[in-house]
Amino acid sequence: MPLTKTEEEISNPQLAQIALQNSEKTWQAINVAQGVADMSFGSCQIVDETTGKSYTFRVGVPYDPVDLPWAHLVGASFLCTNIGDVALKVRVYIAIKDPDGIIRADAYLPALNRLPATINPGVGYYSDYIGGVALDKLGIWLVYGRLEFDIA
Amino acid sequence: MIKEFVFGMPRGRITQDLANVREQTWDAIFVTEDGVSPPPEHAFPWLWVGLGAAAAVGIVMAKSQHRD
Repeated sequence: MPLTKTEEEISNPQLAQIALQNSEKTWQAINVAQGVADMSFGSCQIVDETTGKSYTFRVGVPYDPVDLPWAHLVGASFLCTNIGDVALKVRVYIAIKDPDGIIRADAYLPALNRLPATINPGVGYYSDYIGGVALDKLGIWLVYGRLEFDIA
Repeated sequence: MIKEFVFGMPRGRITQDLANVREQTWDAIFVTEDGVSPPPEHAFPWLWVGLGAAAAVGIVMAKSQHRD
């Protein structure tokens, strides 16, 4: 098949040579996708404020409830971690419930009238510490935790 | 997702609903009597019955001594 040349190429044979040597390459360079937003609970800490002793429930480690006597004052907090791959805006809620399911102390961190905290991937964040709760009922007391989060 | 803006409030006072939620509950504390006396407010009736009885005995004894 005869090659056709433009007038410019005919007048300038060097240009025609460069055009023949051109080639193309494409790199799949960047994948733009929405990251994974995920958080996990870490350890939970109970403090017997009457004695000053603290007790920690670790992730994945079986535990029994802490055996504490009537009338002691207690407090609690827990840790959570951004296990996704994007920064998250986060608000953490903690509550202590008595054996009848009544909330005896609770707190948001940050408080509801504040903007959520921004937590980067792999970084931990503590709930607020709620304390001064008198153990005035016999039975099992619960610590309840809730993580509210979204991509920052 | 921003749900609500509160206008006219001090800086930073914005409420937001965050889309994802995780929950966990720990059975944290088992409360037993363990021979520990309940605090005074829970021992209230017995405390006052005891104090009243002691006062009554004291009055009776004082009166009997006065007669002697």
